[in-house]
Amino acid sequence: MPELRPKDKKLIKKLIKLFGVQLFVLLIFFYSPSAGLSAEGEKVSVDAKLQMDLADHFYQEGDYYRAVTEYKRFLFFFPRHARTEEAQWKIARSYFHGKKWDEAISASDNLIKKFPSTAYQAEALLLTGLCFKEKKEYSQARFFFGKAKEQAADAPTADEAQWQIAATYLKEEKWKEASSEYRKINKSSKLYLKSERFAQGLDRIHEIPQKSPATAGILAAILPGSGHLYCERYRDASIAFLLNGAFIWGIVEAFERENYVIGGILTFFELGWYSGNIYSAVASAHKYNKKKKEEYLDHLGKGGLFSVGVFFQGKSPVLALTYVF
Amino acid sequence: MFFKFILILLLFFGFLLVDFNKKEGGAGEGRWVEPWQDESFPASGKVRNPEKTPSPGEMVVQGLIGFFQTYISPVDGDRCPSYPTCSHYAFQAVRKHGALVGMVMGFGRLIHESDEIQRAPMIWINNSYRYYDPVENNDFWWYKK
Repeated sequence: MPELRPKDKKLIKKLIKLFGVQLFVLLIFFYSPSAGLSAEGEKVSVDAKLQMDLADHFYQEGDYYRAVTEYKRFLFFFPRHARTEEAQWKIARSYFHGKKWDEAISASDNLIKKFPSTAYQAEALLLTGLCFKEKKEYSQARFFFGKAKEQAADAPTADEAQWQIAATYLKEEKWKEASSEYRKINKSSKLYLKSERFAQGLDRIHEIPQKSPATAGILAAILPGSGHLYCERYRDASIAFLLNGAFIWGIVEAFERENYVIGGILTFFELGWYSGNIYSAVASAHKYNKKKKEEYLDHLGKGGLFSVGVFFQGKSPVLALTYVF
Repeated sequence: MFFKFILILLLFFGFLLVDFNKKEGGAGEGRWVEPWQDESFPASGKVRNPEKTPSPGEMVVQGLIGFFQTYISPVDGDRCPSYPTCSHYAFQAVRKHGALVGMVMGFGRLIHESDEIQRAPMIWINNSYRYYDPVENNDFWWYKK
């Protein structure tokens, strides 16, 4: 091996020194305690409480999408924490408030499967029932409300479940069943007065003024516009009458003058106006009936009818008279 | 006589050859969609079930409506106070119930519009308030799903 010249040796030593200094500077830079600090010099370490607080913050703000993400992050980072059950329950609630019914059902189901003896069981079943109610799957909803009522440890949850069972019958317009279910609400419940009002009101629901869709349709077929007149839609009635009248007049004139093309085109449109008039009259009768029912039920919900009831506050009975003008 | 027939056919149905959807799509025209955005109000011109293949009858009626929306409505002006607009309502009704029932519902909408605006709720959409009268509010009594 050839021996290095003194000049080269010096150069190598210098290079090693320079490299060593650079390495030292780099090490100091990367391993200095200030490197882990934020711009403000504040150190943030996320623990379970902070993570849950962040998720709760989004939940309270109504930002359910982000709340779900943060609750899931909590479950990922702290899978054995004491609050995982709570996080799972809050995921289900976030989905529910975010109107993601299927996801909420699945999250509630997960909670019950993972924590069979969870304190949230009755509430999770109630929430599942509410999701099915929103999905208009009323018999499924009733099944879960029934289970929630069985599992409920406290009376308010059981009463709420019973109330919801009645509400599903109400949605299905099964008035007798709804009335009988409202009557099953416990007398000591806060919902008792309201449920009694509903039960009494539903017994008289047949007294609501209704329009016959068949009559509306037949009237509209005999004289365009008269179906709408029957349904108290006076502007629509005049439009239907004038439009049909004008087109029929046009058709008669066109055929009398042997102008068959114009007559044919006018007939095509008149068929549309005539059938549209009948359809609209029948639909108007249904809309009228629906609106009257909704108004009546709304009235019942707000306590718009006279009601007498006795309920218990603690152990003492309270007589209540309600009448809203 | 044959040429006259062809001419009449072209006059009435020639617009079917025009691609009314041509202007849709393209770079930078997509809508910003929030993760959980409420989809209960579809954007104008869009339908809920784009996968469904329309029948020939539906295509003819939708072509007529498309012709109206593309060539007549811009000249005629924005005169429908409802949401969806009458033409879009008819389009949706045809898509949902077929050509015949859809057309009947479309004519029915034109007749019931003036009293409906006294009863329908108002919604803020496309930078203006409109009376909300969708197809679902007019077929609920016979179409459950």
